[in-house]
Amino acid sequence: MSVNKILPVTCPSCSGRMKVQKLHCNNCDTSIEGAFELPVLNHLNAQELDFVLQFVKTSGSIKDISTQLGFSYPTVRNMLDDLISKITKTEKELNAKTL
Amino acid sequence: MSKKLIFNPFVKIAGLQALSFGALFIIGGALLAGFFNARFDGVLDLHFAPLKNFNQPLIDQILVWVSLVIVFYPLSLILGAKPIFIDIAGTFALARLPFAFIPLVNATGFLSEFSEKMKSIDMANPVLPISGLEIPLFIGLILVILVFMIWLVILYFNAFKTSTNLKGNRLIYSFISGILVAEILSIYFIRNLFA
Repeated sequence: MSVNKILPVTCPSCSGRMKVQKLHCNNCDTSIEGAFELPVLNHLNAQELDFVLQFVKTSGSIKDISTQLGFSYPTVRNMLDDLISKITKTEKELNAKTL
Repeated sequence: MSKKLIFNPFVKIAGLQALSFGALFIIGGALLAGFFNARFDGVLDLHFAPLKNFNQPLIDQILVWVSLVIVFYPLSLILGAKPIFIDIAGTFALARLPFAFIPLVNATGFLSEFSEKMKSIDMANPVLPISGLEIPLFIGLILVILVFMIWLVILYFNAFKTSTNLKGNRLIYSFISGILVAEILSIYFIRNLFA
C-alpha cells in the first residue's frame, strides 16, 4: 500500500524552516549532500497550494475560481491577496538568508 | 444556513448578488416597518412610534444605505484597500438584513403604544401610565431588539472586512470611525432630506 507522504517544510521541534540535505538518483544511485532551500511554493500549506493550482488551471480567473469553490468574488480576491503577501514575505526571508 | 454564514454571508454572496438580495430585504423591511410603525432613522437607530408617512421607513433605509456607502467606499480607498464599489454597495445593503425582521417585534403595536405613553408623561405630575406586566414585556422585547442590533453590527463589520481585506487595528479603528461618521451623516440626511 503506497502512502501519500507530505513534505514537511517546518521543523516539528522548533518550527524553523526545513532545508533539503540529501538528494538521491534512483537510476544510478548517485547521492548529493548539501543544504538546499525548498522552492517558495513548497512553503505553502496544502490548502494554499491547492488554491494556486486552481488559479493556474482557470487561467487566473478569480470569477471562475469563486464559482468552483462556491465563495464570493471578494473572498477569493482576499485569499489571493493573502497568498501574495505570504509568498512575498517568504521570498524576502529566503533572499535575506542567501545574501 | 450555517452559523458562520448568518454572521458572514459575504463569504458566499457579494457584489451585485448581495445588492439584489439586500435591496429585497431593504424594501421588505421598509414595508413591514410601515405596517408596524418602525423607523430606521440612523445607521444604528430604531424607533417605534406611529408613522406620519407610510413611505418614511423606505426613505430612511435608502438614506442610511447611501450614508454607509459614501463613507465606507472613500474610507477604503484612503486606507489603500482597493475595494470594488459594487462590493461595498452590495455587502452593506445585505448587512441591513436584521432590519427586515426587527419591525415584527412591534407586530402587536405594543412598543409604539408604550413609546406614546412614555411621551405623554406630565413631568410636573409624573405618574407612569403603564401596568406591572408591561415593564417585563418591554424589557423582553428590548433584549430581542438588542440581539438583532448586535447581529447588525457584526454584519456591517464583516461587510467592510470582506470588501477591503483590511486586518488588525487598521480594520477595527477604521470600522468604528466609519460607523460613527455614517451615523452622523445618516441622521443629518434623514432630518434634512425628505423629512
